Amino acid sequence: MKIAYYLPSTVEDNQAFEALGWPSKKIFSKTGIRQRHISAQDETALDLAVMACQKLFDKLLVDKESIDYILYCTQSPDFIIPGNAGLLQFRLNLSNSIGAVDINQGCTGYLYALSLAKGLLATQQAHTVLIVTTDTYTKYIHPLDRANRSIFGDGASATLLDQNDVESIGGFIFGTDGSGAQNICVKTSGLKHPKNPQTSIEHQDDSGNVRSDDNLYMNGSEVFSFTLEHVPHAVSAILEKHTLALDDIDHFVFHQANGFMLTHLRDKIGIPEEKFSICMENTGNTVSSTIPIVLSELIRTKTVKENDRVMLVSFGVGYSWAATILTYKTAEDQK
Amino acid sequence: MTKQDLITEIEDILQADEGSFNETTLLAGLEDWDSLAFISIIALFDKKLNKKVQLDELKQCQSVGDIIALSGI
Repeated sequence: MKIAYYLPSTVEDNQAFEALGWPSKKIFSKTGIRQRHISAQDETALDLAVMACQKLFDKLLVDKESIDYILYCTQSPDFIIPGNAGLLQFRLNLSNSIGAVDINQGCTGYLYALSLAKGLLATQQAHTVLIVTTDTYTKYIHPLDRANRSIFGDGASATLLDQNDVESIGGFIFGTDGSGAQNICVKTSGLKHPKNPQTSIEHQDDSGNVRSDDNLYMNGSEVFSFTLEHVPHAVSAILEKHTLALDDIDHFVFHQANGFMLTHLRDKIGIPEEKFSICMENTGNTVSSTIPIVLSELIRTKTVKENDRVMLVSFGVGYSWAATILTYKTAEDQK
Repeated sequence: MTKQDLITEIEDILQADEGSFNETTLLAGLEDWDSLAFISIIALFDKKLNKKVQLDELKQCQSVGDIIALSGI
């Protein structure tokens, strides 16, 4: 497994929210985020994806000719038609003899992609899979929506998996509850509610955040309640599936939704602080890229060792949740 | 957890001075009574009281006493 990630160069720190009535200290204490990276106006999720892939190829010695399948996960596509995986294949000048497909998933996207990649590899449908996660949620957020602006950042990741990784990716558990769909959504993001002058009318919520139906809406309190209900069960279920106990896990990497939420979940589940990664201070919530960003840092800093068990847990938009356990193996040429 | 413990926790969440709140303190005028406060109260109920509180219930709270009533203390 090889992972690289890319963050756009523009950084927004918490000082930006002082003018909106939120002291920067309060934002850090409530979110665990000091800054987030924001894509430029003309910089799309596909642009970020290309940069992440170039980093993967250049820094981690990836032979791009070996790639025979792309799984491209985004909820901020350059186009609905055509799919973006093909555009990435062209931008990276990859072979025409490869599979390439988009996955529309948010916070759970990386786990879905890992699961699909494992299936493709285990059944010999592919030999080397490139997983890309990329999002520019900040483009959906109203400038006066301090709640969402303080949480989300843009970013992309690229992960390369080959036949050697099949055994190291364990089993999965998945969960879905579409009744929570309206709690994280952009109402006019598809064809059901086309954008029109009415949908662009701005309104202010009880907490002073401004947005329209064309912007990202997230009911943070409802989403928090959802995670409290489902994440501890997901942890128990994935342990049970592998016949393991909490103590058998060396590292816990949860979707980096919000530092406050993560600390609460960690304490509720009883995970030791030193095994639990909170790595979002400088990135914010980058949606499907949070888990690969943390994994990349654990590998880069050699925090994760050969054969360490790493539990991945993701949850969010949909509602959707998933978990798996990796047994970390260093790629042969990185030893 | 006693009623007073809960009031102290609410003071902390709403960044008020310790001892400045009582059951009749109104929430509506407080600057920090916002979406972040709702999340903190949900977490407080979950952690200290092992109790689930709904967002709609919290939004209807007018005073600190209304939050205490939700706790069942």
